[in-house]
Amino acid sequence: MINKRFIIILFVVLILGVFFYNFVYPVLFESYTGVVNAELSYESSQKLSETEFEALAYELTARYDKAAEFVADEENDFSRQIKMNMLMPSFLRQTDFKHIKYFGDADIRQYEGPKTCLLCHKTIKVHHADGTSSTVNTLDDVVNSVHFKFQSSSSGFSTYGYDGRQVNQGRAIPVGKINRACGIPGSFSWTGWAALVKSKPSHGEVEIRSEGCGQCHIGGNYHPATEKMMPVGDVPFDAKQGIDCLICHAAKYDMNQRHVIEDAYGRRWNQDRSMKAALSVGRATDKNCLNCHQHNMGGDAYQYNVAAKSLGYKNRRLLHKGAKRGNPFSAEDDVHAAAGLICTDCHVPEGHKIPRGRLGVDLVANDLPDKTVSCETCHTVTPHTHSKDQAILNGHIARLACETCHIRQLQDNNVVLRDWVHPTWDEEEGIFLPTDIYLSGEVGKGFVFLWLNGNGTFLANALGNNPNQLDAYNPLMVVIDEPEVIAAIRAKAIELKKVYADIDVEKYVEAATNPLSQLSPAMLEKRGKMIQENLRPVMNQGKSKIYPFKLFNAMMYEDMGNQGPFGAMILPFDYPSYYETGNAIESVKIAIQNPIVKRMYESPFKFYMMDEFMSYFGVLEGWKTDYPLVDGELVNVEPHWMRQMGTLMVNHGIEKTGRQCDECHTIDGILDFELLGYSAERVFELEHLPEVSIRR
Amino acid sequence: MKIYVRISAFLIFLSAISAFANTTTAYCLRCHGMETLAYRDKSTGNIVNLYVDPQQYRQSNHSRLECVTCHTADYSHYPHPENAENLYCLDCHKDDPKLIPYGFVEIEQAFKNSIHASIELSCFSCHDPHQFKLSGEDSREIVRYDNEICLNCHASPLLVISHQWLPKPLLHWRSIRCLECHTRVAIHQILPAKESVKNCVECHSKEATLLSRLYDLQKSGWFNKAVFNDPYIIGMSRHESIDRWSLIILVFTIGGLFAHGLGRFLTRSNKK
Repeated sequence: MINKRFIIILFVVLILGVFFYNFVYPVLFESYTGVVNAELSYESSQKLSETEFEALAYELTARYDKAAEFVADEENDFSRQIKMNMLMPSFLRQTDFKHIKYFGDADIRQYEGPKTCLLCHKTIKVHHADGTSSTVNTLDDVVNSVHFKFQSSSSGFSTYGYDGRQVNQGRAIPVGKINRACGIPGSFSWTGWAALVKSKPSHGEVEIRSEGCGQCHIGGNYHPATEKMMPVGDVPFDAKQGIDCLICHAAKYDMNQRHVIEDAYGRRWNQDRSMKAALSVGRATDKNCLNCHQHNMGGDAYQYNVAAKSLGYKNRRLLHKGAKRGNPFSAEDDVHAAAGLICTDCHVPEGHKIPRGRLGVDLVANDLPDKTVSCETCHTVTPHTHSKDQAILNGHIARLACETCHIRQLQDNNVVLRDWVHPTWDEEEGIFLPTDIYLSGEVGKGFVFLWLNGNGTFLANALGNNPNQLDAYNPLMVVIDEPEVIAAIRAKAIELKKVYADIDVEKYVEAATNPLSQLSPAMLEKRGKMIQENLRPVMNQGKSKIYPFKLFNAMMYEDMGNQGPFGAMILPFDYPSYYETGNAIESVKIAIQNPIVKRMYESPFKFYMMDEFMSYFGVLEGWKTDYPLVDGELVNVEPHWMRQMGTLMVNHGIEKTGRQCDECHTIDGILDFELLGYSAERVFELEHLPEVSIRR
Repeated sequence: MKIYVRISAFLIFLSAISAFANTTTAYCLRCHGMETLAYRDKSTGNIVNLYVDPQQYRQSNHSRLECVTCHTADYSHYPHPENAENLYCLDCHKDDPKLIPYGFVEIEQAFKNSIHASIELSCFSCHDPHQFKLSGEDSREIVRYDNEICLNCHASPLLVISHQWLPKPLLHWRSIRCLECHTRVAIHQILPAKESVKNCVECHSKEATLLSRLYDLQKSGWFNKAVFNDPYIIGMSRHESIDRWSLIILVFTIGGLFAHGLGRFLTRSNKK
């Protein structure tokens, strides 16, 4: 009898549990975080009639383009059409796009997102590096990828906190692009997901423009994958149906469909769900990857950024003028792209998990942290095969990364210093933009060489050391001292002063070129000590090589209640108010009123992740929950440059011909041997190689 | 202006030369100490490694020699001559009276009769002169070091198949050198496979051929040989007096046990 009762109680508890998890938890979660979920629809998802389908299929065959080219000289429209028909007798059999036949046979006349793909691709076979394979649920595979979550709550980060701990080696917290501190985007993914900005160009009409992190992410929801930040709970069904499969898989994806749309529930990013795109699906090519990734490699303003030529049929996307990395991957500027290699040739995926490589200095999550992506995989340990100096060139690989010689410089518009605090009016776009104080892709200016053993700090600094393992090498205490650069920064500060009269030019230049000067002597000492005690052992790990890096720093508003020797918590900007009014302070106030920022300043978040986050940040006292907005005024908030230049790894834009011997082995060569930690005698030797002198 | 540049360049060159005589090992190791100094041979496609591990060189028997002692002065400048010179151990080791005990002449003779000589190998195919070091006394280390030389070329799955007849092949490979079975006359005269030792008793017996080879390197004295000889070899590692005494102890033990049991059996009725 008791047994029966027990079973009934257990059953009821179980049912209640399932009910709570599936129906009550999501509602509670949404009300707590303030995120919105709703069914997502897209205008481009249109049902085609039989005739329309056939016409589209006809147009999409590979022969179509060739035939069109062939008859291009024919002036008469009608006879051109007749000739086309003659050239393409059996298009369905000769098509390149296999899904034309599949969709034709399966009677699919409308593309409705993941729902349509999953009709056939419910599971996929994943091939692993060790030669084994497994079958996985396709949707789960995508939802749990970094491309959807853009964070990871597991280990596998090559990043070390300033407290000396490797990120997520102990208690794991969700970290990645979704919440890392980064000055270049100026906002963070919840406050800057999908924004509509009213621009007023001086020559033209008022236009609504699109902006936000969501433009480059495959989730089509009103917010990033917030649910995945929690230890329990899943992304709702509706949000999963908003995943944009085609941006990665369709050869004919129309980037003009990628703009912000607004509906009753809020703003989100539109996507191309046309049958034209759907019929052209296949494996992802470089063109697909570059739809988003050229934005942070070559940059939006890069001449050969194809996606940036299609800004949207309406609410055109705003282009970011300064380049994030300034090393493009394109046939024009990269030898591998020119040779027809595509991204997945080196970044070999396993299902929807794509490896980033074992080395990484920033806090970007990596789906396959143990998978190598390296030049050596193809080029072997003897990549130089026809120079008369081949052996000695190969010899350099022990100390130099290939990129060090084979990337000569970054794009000119590579952002080195960006000031978010003092925006500048942009006539052409008709909005206020953060002021790029210094742009350069030149060696020694925006492009430097540092030792790297594969590890990085919490704020993206390369870690490594000269093989002599001495303390002489310390990239975490360096300042900008190039007179030319300082002069350019001063000129820009003088220009800014015309608009912002309160700027003290000398102080401005000092803070921008020597961000450490913003620290009190006590903080500076603490910093030196923490570097020595916590980071020096990490720098001395493994084997370091000299790699090239893009330099970067930004001035933003910081919550000084949460500060340490490596900086304070940076506060986001609200894009529309920032761009439209240029009032940086007001836009911070608006951004931090976002429910999720408020929650960040409460105890549950503090204990769940912020204490851990701050410890990595070098603030061992924990996260202080004093919300920096009191009675409509910012409290204890100050504008500052981050306390050191960030160093971002650059690995693309590879040139066939590398540097020559005498570009480094000379006085004032591109490598500063002294800064790289070599002894005075060794510097002399390296700068005076008799072999190199003879040649000159 | 131009002339000043030239003069200063020349001065720099001179100062560099004086800082580093170009005939010293250190000078050569500037490049040859690079771990990845290598190129791909155009005719074979193989990677030719030019790295000389400075640490191993310093510990080698040749460490007192400068590189140019063997490699001639042609190699004191970069780029080096196109065709590499042919070096040979005996060029140096033949006439030096100090080196006679090492038997280089005999080694040369043995090698000429070796199966390896017929496939045009040279001394350097097996012995890297930049790391060459006389064997120490630890027999396990000698086994590891020597077998590694053979396995550099012979490591292949076929090796396992051809040694299948051997009981516990892995244990054999760990404990003895390939050379024990694959040579008979002299250590450098490698035999063809079919002439190699295949008879267990040749090693596992009192008159084992092994004793005259590797185990001669052991410390002398019967006690050392019998008891502290690292690899214990069934049938070989024995000492007659110990054998005799062990047998006596064994007989007494069994006898004692039997006597005890018998006594208890015979007195069983008294206990009731």
